[in-house]
Amino acid sequence: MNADSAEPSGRRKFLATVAGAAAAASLGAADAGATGGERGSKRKWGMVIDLDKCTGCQGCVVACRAENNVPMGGQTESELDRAIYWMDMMTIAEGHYPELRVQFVPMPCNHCENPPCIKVCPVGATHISEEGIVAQIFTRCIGCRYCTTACPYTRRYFNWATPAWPEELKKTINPDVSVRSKGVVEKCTFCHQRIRAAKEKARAEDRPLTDADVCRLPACAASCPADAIAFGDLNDPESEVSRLARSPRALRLQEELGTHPKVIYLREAKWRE
Amino acid sequence: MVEITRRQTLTALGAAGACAIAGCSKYPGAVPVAAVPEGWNRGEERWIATTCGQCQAGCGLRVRVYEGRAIKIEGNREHPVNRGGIGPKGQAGLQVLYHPDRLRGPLKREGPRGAGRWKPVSWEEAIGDIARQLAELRSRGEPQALAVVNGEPRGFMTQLWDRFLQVYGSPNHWTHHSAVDAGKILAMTYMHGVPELPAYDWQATRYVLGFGASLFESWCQTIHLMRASSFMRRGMPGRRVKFVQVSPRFAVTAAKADEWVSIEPATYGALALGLAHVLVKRKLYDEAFVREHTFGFEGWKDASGRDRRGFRDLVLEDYPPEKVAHLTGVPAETIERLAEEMATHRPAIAVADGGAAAATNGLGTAMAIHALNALLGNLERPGGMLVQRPAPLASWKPVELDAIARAGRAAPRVDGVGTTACALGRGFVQHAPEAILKGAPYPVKALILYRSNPVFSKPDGRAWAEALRRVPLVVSCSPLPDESTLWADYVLPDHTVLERWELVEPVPSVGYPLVGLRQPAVVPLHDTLATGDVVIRLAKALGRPAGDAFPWPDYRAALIERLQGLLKAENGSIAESDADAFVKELQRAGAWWASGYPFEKWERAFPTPSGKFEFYSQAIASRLEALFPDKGALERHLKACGVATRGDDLCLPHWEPGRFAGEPDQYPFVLIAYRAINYAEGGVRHVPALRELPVAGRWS
Repeated sequence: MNADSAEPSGRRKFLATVAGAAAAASLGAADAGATGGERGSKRKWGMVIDLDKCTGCQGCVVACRAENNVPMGGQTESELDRAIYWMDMMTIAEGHYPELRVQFVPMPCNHCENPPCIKVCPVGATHISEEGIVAQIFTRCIGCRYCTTACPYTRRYFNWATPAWPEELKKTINPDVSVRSKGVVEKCTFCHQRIRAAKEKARAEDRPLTDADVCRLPACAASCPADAIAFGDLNDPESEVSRLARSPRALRLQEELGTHPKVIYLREAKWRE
Repeated sequence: MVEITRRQTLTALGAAGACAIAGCSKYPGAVPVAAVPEGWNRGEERWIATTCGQCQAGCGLRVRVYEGRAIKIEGNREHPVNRGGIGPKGQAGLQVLYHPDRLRGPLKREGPRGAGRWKPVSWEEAIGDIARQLAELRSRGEPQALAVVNGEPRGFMTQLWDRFLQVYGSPNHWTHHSAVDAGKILAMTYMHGVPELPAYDWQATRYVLGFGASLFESWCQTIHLMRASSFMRRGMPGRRVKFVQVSPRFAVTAAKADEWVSIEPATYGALALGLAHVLVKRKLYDEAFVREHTFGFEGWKDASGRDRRGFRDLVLEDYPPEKVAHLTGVPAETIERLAEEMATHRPAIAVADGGAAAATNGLGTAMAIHALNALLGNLERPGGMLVQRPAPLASWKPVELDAIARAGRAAPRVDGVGTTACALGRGFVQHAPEAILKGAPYPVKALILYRSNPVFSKPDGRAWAEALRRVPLVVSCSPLPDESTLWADYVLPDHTVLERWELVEPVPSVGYPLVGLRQPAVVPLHDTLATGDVVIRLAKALGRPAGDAFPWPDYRAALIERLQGLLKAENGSIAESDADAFVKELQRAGAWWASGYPFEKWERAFPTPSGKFEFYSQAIASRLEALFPDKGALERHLKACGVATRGDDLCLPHWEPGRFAGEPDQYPFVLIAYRAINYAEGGVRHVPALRELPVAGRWS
């Protein structure tokens, strides 16, 4: 974790630079003061992914990396299976020829209600926000990787190498998302920068944030050609995610662990007469 | 002198360490808080509507541009093709724009061919040099010795190249069709009279039978289809469209289908005819449609009173399910069941893949699959197969050819189209290297590569490299130093998609007229030039008469001229009748489209000799007659080509075993070139985000 010995002030300064005019650098800031007095919010952000609609195209995977400044792994890191994917397409194969079943499962962070990753962090670098987003505070992370081991869904990634972009590709970097350094863990944030922007827009227009504002808000949901990903407030019974979560096809991954994931999958169906 | 080798740059890209940033030890990859370019305020962002170019589907995009740099691509929710969805290729578009390997400006070869040593030159010098050499070729009366290899064989650039070759006097406009989807287009050409891929009314169909159609991977309308599939499964409460995929390879689309049927390679045609057999025998087909709107179903007598074979007899006599089961490996009861399901869940669609038709029995196969749609009476009807309506664009003024051009255009095409070497095809790009190396029917002396990298993407790339080496003048318009560009004398790097103006008539998907706008999201990064502008400048540099055919100051002006037609259209999505207001709205919306598809316009759907859908293609019959006037010639030709089919069956949907290279006992396996969604035909393989993407997700 050699690159991580920087003094906090320097890092904070950097993060501020990264975020540019828009202030929020870490989730802690995003969900509290910077979001305009939303402390005590009763929202609980969740996502519903319809596996019947999903065609396994991986548009969400590339969209997520583009939105969130996830560096390319390059040949070395990719070969070591260390490339970073906040959203990844998991393929599950069952059966034998010719009775095969292959399923494609887009996997963001499950944003558990009871996240195992938080319990093991020795420095309080990972936390859950008031609106239910499980987040990583990069400035606190010491790179011990307890959380990557604790996560039963393998949705946390460690920066083994110095994140880098070829000079010209640096132009694609999103100013709304902080760039991480070597030696810290990173993960899906439900695109909190987009949630923040949507809140700010609604406030500027002097109206409440609606389900329509957020339903396709995260980069993965926005890009999905099959319209398979919905996002919203699980505490609002009228929201699309709440409605979908009541489907008999709904399931959560490894529920038996007591993690209470807020990513809900809708089971794939097959045609029947 | 600039040295470029692809391998070097790729290695640099691959090794993460190699691009570490100087002066940024603690927080590497720090955001380039670059100088804000003129015209931009700090923190300012704009959204630009444009059209994707990563494949030919023509999805609408909205590009987020922040302080002058493009930082994110989103789908355009208004756009009928993709309704906001964007696949992995589209999402990776920024890495094409900002690709570190991009060429900085025009280059002229220094040192021997293929050495990769180049000298930067000005656009004037490069275009002047090339024009001089082309003018010399023309003045020697050899304009036909110029060939253009066009990797994007549709749309306005294709028309522009065609115009250029017409006035210059060469018939050699080669496309990649024969390596991609020619079989499907040919089936449409010969049975429908429409030389275009079909569109489908997915919203209203009830059953889809795919013949190897990689609907969710690298089909030409993939993103449109994903949205449609989503609707077919979950958009209609209580109703689900059944999707059956028949394919030898269990790929992503087969995994997503409701049912996968495994089949022997190159036997799709036999299965389609077996299904037709069941439909006909059990009278499950749409008799009224077949009677009113098709030709050649029943046996018929020609003008000389001779009995001709009908499609009915062909399938009843030759394709009983038991025999088809033996040929295809699909059990007879499955064939019976699939036919019955299709017939009882109408409208049902049978879709072929370009790959299904890419075998030695391809045309007959594509026709056989297409014939199922006619049997089920779903052509030109809701839930069926549609004929893409062209947009009412104004045309460019027709060109006038001088004597040299007329003589050149009369020469046979080097790739054999229109000659006995390619009797029914639209192109035969695979044949080009052999023809070039043989110098037959005449030597190719100048060759221009446009969006084409045959050394990499075509079979036998080494033969292509050898052929390019043999051509005295090779020009590449590639924005990247690719494998074919390595053999060029001049490189005229094109703008990338997010830097240029273009009108896009995408691969058919919605059926109704649609024109996408491509407009620059950013100021061009390098000293590149849109190839449309290169063509216009080249024509002008050639002087009269070529220059007269290109009166526009630039390519953009040539495109705007075409828009005039849309202004007058009545049911278009943009109501403005004032030209400036129209263009402004087009720039905002990113596309123009006409509302709704007019069903059952039979005369538009079947512009064939009979005015009907033709099971028996009279176009094939007359073409064969013209090329082989006497019976003996045709027989000799078929024998030489190894074609087993004879007589009327040549003009009907038919099947014969596919032929493969190598002895079967030595090579028991058949290679099926699988096109993953992140690579397709290989045109985007240099994009890091796509190279890193697992082909079909991460296998646990």
